[in-house]
Amino acid sequence: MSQSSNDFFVGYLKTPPKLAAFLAVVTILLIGLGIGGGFALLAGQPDYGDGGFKGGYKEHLGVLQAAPYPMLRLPPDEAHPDGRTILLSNPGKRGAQKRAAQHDGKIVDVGGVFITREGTSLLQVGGAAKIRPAQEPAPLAGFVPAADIPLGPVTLRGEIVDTKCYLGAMRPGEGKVHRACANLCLMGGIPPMLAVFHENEAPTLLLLTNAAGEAFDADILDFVAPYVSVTGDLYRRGDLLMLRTDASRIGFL
Amino acid sequence: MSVQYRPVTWTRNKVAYDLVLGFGIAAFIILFLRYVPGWLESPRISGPQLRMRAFGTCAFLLLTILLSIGPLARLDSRFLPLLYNRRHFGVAIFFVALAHSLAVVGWYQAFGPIDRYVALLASNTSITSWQAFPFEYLGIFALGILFTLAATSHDFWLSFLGAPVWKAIHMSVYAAYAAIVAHIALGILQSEHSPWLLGLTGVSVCLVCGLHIAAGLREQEASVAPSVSAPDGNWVHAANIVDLPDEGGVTVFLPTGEKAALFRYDGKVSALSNACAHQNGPLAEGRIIDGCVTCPWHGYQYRPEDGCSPAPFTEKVATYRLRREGDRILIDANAQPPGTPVPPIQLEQGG
Ligand code: HEM
Ligand code: FES
Repeated sequence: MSQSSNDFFVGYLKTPPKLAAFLAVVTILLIGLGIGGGFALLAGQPDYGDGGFKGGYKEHLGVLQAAPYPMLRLPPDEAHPDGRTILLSNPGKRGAQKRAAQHDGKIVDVGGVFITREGTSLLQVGGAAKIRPAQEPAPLAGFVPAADIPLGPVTLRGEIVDTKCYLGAMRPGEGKVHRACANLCLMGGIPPMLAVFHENEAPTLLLLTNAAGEAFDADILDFVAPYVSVTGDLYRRGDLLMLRTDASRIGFL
Repeated sequence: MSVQYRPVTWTRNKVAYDLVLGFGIAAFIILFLRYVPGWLESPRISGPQLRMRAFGTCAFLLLTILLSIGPLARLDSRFLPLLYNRRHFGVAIFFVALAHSLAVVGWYQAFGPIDRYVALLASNTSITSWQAFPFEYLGIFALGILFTLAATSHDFWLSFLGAPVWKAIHMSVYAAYAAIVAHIALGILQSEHSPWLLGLTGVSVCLVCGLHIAAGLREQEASVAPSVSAPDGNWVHAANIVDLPDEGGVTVFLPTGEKAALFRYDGKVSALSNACAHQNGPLAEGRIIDGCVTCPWHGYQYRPEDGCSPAPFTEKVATYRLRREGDRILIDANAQPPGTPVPPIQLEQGG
């Protein structure tokens, strides 16, 4: 301790030079440690994937299905031998339910931008077309989307996410820090999915519905973000996997 | 000391303090937002989320430093100048924490089906589950405390509420710190599983707790003065005359649980309450300057003979009666009312 009275600090007097030098060193150290510490806090951050808005605005021709969540069905092509099923959402934390309702089962043009992560996409509806009766429905005349194919009962482990943020509307759009946001998305009508993670492979994503195959109710909000185990019946609609379950068959791990 | 209240009474040192503080915060935020994404192995984080992290981390580190200054200054008086303007430090932390919260609310809670401030409380209510606990609530609690402290930091509130109440309110900064540690532990630590994140949070907790324990132990070493019964007061041993530093103070731990500050100056010895009338700064750790006991925290001054601030100031602290017995000084553990003149003990020339 420095006890001589000529290096005693009084706020309204000039700081003694020796003390000022000490303080300068301490201050520089503190700022340096603070900044270094801040950087270190982010050092172990995991990879949030390459998800994001991709490909720009395009219009898509397809058959609209409003349940359990608004989606567009497209006939099989080379890349999608089972046909394509594209989930839809509105901008912000809102589902496209209202827009889709009046077009259920009809051939429509849907305008929007894909949000894509590791090969899985969701279409954010917008632009000039939004959802409207198809202007040239001819290419889809006679196309009847295939019914759901049951694949049997399963128990899977993973994280329940809101599809939109998880696929790249936000990064991170997963994990505990994102729970409140994900719940708002689900409350707004964005479809929930179960992300099942694999060692060196993109995760498998399964759309979650209630036991009757309808949109999940508010019970699901309790299980978003932490790792869970889900037991249910697996179905496939086009290229989309769907898991029918209910809250009593979901548990924290 | 001031005879009237101004929003801020500036001194050269306060200006320097605030400039350094502002520079440090700005440097942290700018470097974080500008360089961290490029430096990370995986820079794939959204801009608003990076901003939440920049401000959140900055507020947490600032709070760690702020809480370390107190015990550091008790362990080594050279740190006292860092304590001098602690209130501005605290107000700055509130604003950085506010920026963090606004970034959160403006992104995670916005664009949704319900109002963003309602959403903050309503979007996650699993308070009984530790996996899903709404760690944001802890952040709100801490921000509330930081706001209260910032709003009542001015000396007006100090004299309006009285030092003990004001001090008690300001002690809740420790509750805010505890809430932030829980906020991090139940929030981002559960998401990110990063050893760095865990390590840095741990270092902060160890630093804050360790320094407080070290400063507390140092205080414990000084034992309470033994009583010497006498009919005219509760006389206890205060110090041996040879141990009194010139122009400096000695802390005396009284059996009443209070502390006195014993000062030797001009061949005389006087005793005042150790608690400064301003913010309870430890007067015994101060010095005699211009014939007055000068508080180490903000430089309030008191005449050693009567505990009164020199005119035009009006602050007063309690005084204590002293008695010489051979080579030592005895003190009456019962304090005299603030501002009571007590004749100093005269030591022999050079004694
Ligand atoms: C209304 C009050 C608050 C809310 C709603 C809130 C919310 C959040 C959220 C959502 C995160 C995760 C951010 C992410 O995705 O990375 C977070 C992280 C964090 N918060 Fe807060 N917080 C609040 C107050 C505070 C306060 C007062 C402090 C510190 C003084 C603080 C310090 C931190 C820290 C250090 C982190 C981890 C790093 C980061 O992600 O920013 N928070 N907070
Ligand atoms: S506590 Fe502020 S001057 Fe003593």
